[in-house]
Amino acid sequence: MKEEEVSTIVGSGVHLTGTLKDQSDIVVHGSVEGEVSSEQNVIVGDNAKVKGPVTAQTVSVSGEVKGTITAHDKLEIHPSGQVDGNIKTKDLIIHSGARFTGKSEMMTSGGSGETVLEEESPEIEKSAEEEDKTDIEIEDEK
Amino acid sequence: MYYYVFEQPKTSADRKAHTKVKEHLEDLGIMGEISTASPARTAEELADMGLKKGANTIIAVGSDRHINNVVSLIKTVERGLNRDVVVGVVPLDGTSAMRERLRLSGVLEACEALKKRQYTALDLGYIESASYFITSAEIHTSTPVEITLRADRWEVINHITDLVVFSDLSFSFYNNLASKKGFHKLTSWLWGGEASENQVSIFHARTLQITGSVVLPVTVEGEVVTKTPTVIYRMPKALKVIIKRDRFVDEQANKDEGQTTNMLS
Repeated sequence: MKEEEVSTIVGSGVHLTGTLKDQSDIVVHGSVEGEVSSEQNVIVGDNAKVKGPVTAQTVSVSGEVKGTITAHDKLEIHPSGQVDGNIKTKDLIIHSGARFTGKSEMMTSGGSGETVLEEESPEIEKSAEEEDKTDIEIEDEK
Repeated sequence: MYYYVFEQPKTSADRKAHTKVKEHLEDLGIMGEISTASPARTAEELADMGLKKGANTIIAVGSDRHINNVVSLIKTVERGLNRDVVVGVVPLDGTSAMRERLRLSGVLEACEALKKRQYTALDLGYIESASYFITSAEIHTSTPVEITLRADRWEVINHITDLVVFSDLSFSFYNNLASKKGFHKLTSWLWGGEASENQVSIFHARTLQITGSVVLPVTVEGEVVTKTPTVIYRMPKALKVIIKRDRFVDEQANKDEGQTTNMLS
């Protein structure tokens, strides 16, 4: 049997209710109703849905998240990603085509949670047609 | 004292394999007391006899099912012994999960590991009111069945065909509607492959409660040990198992695994 650290994977078609916490990565292809928390990375796949807070070092969203996201290192919302909730991170990347509705809070590099940028965003939606660039990257202010 | 419990041979190939193991043991100078299961004496009865004779090292020689049966007996009676029992294994199946887990290349290497008697503590699974297992407990159905899995602080209700629970209570399930492809993905993960299939779910837990919409058999190495509903527990570092030298070095380097001891030193 495999003995190294193995990710937790919520397969497509699986609906999980409750708190999902893991020291290793969590990958969601199905749906989760509740808290998702990892000491490493959380990946919300293309057709995945998460209804609840998400906390990890890095969070990658290609599916749908309705809830607060706290990514201590980096949050990346991919073109197919939809986030409806407040986000808090040190490094934020929102790709063209992604949808984000909520308030963003940028943490300092020390990770203390001190706010250096805060903006209310009723809805940010970027599409490839509107933008020449394929990606939009918002860098942490130094 | 080394007390060997050989599985009952079913074929001439089994008998040849047993002879080969005994030759290795003799060459290595670790021939202890040898017993072989038969219709008259099961492997569990033989292991129990060995413990009553005062053996502190019981070695199971045979298939993973045989090894599981011996381990389960030892864990069941160990509490009343007031002494630690170390288990050695000589897996004889070419596709043995135990061989894979202990990274043993073959019979000779397994016998050489026994001589050094360096052991580590491995997690065991315990199926409530049924048995312990060192490899995996499984549920397989030909058609998808609604199963509720409650683990720690969450639950999943899903239609599945295959559920595999490993002894560290990491577990994986899959709804194999169309073909066996998905289950092969699942088992490839067992042997160290990548579980890239989106339909495969993998979780970790301390306790797993399994309830089915119908009663389902739970098997360990192909043997039905209980039926749903049932609860499976993780027993951390519950089994002392002899491992080979390089595995021993790996274990020492891994603080999480820890608890590795050299009885010869």
